[in-house]
Amino acid sequence: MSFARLRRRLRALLKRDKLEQELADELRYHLERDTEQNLKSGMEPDEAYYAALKSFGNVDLSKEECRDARSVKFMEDLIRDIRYSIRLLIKNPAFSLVAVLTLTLGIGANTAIFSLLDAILLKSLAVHEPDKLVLFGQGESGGLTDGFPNESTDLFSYPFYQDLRQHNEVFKDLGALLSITWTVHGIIGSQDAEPKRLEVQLVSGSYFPTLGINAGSGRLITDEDDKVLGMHPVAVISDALWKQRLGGGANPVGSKIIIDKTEYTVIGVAPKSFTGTTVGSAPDVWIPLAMEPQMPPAHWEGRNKKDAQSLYLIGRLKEGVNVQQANAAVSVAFSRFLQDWAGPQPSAENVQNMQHAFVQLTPAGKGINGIRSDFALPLKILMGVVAVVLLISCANVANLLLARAAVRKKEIALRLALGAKRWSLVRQLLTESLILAAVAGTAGIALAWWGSQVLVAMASDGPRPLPLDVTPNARILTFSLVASIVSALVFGATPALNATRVDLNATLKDGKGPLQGNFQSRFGKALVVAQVALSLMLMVGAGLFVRTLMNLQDIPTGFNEKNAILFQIDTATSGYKEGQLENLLVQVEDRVRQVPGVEAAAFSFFTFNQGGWHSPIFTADETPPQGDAIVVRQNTVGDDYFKAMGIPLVSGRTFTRQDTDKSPKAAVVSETMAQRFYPNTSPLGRHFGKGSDKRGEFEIIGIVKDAKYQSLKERPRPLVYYSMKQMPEAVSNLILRVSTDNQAVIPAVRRVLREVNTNLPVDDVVSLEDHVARSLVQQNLIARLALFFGLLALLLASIGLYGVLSYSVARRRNEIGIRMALGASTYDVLKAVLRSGMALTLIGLAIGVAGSLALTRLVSTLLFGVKPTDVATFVVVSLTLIVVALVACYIPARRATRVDPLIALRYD
Amino acid sequence: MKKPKADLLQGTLELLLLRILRSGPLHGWDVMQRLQLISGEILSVTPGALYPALHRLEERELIVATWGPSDNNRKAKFYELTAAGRKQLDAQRKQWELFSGAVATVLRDA
Repeated sequence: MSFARLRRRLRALLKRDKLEQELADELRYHLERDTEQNLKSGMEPDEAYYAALKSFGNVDLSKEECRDARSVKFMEDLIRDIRYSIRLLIKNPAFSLVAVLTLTLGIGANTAIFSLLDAILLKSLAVHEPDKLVLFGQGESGGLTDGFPNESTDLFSYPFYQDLRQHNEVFKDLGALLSITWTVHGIIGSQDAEPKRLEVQLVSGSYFPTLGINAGSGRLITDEDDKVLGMHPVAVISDALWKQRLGGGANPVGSKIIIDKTEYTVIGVAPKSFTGTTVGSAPDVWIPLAMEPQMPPAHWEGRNKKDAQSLYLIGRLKEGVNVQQANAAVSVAFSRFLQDWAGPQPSAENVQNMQHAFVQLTPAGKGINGIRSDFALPLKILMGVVAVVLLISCANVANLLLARAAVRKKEIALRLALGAKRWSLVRQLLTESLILAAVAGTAGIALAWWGSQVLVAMASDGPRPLPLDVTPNARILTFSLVASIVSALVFGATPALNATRVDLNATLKDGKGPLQGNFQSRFGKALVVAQVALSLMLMVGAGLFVRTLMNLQDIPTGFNEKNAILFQIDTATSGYKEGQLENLLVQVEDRVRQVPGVEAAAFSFFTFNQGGWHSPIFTADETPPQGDAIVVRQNTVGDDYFKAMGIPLVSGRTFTRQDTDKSPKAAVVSETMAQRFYPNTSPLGRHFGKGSDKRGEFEIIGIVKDAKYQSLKERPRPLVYYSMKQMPEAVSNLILRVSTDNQAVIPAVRRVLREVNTNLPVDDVVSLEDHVARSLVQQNLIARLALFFGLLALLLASIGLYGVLSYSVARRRNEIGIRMALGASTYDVLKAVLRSGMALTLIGLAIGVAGSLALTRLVSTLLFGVKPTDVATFVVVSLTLIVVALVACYIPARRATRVDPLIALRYD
Repeated sequence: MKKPKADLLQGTLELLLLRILRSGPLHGWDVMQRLQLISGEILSVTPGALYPALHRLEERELIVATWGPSDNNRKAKFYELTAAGRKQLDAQRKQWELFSGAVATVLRDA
């Protein structure tokens, strides 16, 4: 539509009166000219005017046709329909409120889940041509590995990146980023400022150019900033860090950030729309990879090591190169690189490895995996769940509309009798539905805005919400709009078509057309059966997810999560050197132990669900596994760790004050480790080492019970504990065992920490129970939401059942009256109504059970300890549904028994 | 919305209106007079057909309307051909000539 035409249309709509006036003027002018001519030819004035009028024909018809020519008639009709509908809806506030509320819940729930789905699965990175970006691998593993690649590879070394970047024909550019972000504390601006928690992403100089984004302010990191190891202390900060956490004051370019002992100069701010390339992670600071050795806590240094594989690589495809071509080129380069690494005489193992190692390019336009694979299936299932809830809501509104159409039957019949076209009545009724849906859609978006924040908080496994942007965007609004319109058509179409299919004679005579009454109740009943079936399916799903969660929660952890508090402390940024730091930490343990209420306090590298440290050990003795290197799980802990965690000692001893960096190195092992490595003897006093040349390095001094390490679902695996005094690591967990009141000691411990050293920022304080619960965040999310929506569906379905029965009791009042007059007891009446309601329920139940049996298979990968066809769940859910349905049926049934035959018969 | 009664008739009327308006801005009454005059009273159009046709042409942006003083100094609505209207006139005219020529040939030679 051209602009001129659009303007004319708008004018036609907005200045209708003026246009009408112009049309009248134009036609009057014509009549006047005709009249004048007639006068000239000698007619009398009156005669002249009437002759002109006669020759003109029907003036009003002409006007109408001229209006039609303007093609805004449709809009005018629409506006009239809307006005009329709004009047009607306001006149029936109870109906409108119930309908809008029901739909708001449905549309709001859908929009909220969709917002999360959009943020995690659909949204593209705010970079130049995101479709041209590819990631090397799936982006599923993160960290550092030094093993020779032998399968699908996600992590790459700096030499490979350099090599490929310089010699390839398929990428416009290639960027590298460290596969994990470091959480550190940095002092920003003035020297004495409080250290701030910073999420640091190390990136190559080519990272930003590959993405093709421009700085929001200042400049971004380039190749010039990533040339010489350790020589480029520059940083790009996120817009959120500047605007939200630094208060958005003066332009930060040129200011300083001190992390550990290095002072970085801020060279720029990333654009607001760019929050990193990994889904569910939002770095505060980007720093050149050349600064990696200076970056706590790990101080990795892999620039020249082929085996230090810790990078994600992102390539931008050249024009005209597709993913397959690029993948072929990368595969060639990768195998050349591996051959070079393996050397001219590769070991048999590496020959094997090389055959299995490969790189698969995957689209990176929507960001690197991150949390995506964890949430994809749960979100899709929840999307299905809320879609069903919306369907049930629609069924309820359809039933309401059907009942209301019955009330308006006489009005509709009258309008049809007076010549209204059926189409225009249908259109008017549909307009009403659309208005209901529009109001509900708007309210639903508001509800979803709030709801999606709640969802993000629920989906987050730490104290800080996942950095997901769920504010409504064009795609989300379009989704809600489509959901609203489709709902309006779903719940509005049948009632509208049905309401206008009227037997005029019968209806105008007594106000009820018997035929459509029948259809109406049949359709209404079908809706209720569908609602019952759908809500049963949701409840079964909810039941399975809740059982899964309960099963997971019942798994013993091996430690005592009661009365324990976990402080997460950044010890790596304190500026202390190794050795000094350990002394400081021991001092902290001692001081904290003196806080009243604290029974034990110990640092550790890992507690639970914090990733893992898996590396080989070499046993000294001729016991299985016969001196071979075996990868075991490891941890570094303070003396009090086992007491603080509540992990029981089986035999031997745990670490004490006597174990120091100067005493012989000691290790405590788990029971599974003892059984696996020393099946028939005591491991106490045996030795192993961390290298094949150091087999006597550690002496086993104690055996403790197995405890969960990475997840609740894991099987017990061999686990070795070292003393943090003998094996310094970036210990960041301080675990306290407290006597009773958990919360009271927290401020005292914080105070002690500040007293000992000001550079021990506390990231998070959480009870060990909550820390364990966080490992189930996904299961928790899906169980709670499924249960919530299941109960909502049940509520809506019972409202539907109640409505249909109430309506049918109201319609059958005189029939019931007659029956009672003929001697039916109240019990008979009660039974009849209950029976009709329960018949619907049972049919719905049967369909729902069949549907559940067919569909729960889809969620089996998300279940734990319960089969998708779990009988107990099905029985409990069915019984719940029957009880709720009985209540919903009982109320209208009671009302039926109170029918007074005299009144009922007289009234009709 | 009502459909035009006969496509050929309406198409012809449109062609004639465009041709008449090519000579300059005219108001409805003038258009009607001129059509009658030029066609030697053979072709005539009722106001009931004329005005909707003019409004349709305006809607399609083939003509534009302005209000101005008429001969006897009253306000009248003048219609004028647009560039698109001129093109449409040429196209329709060619089509018409082709069509009428063909009909004439058939009538003569069949």
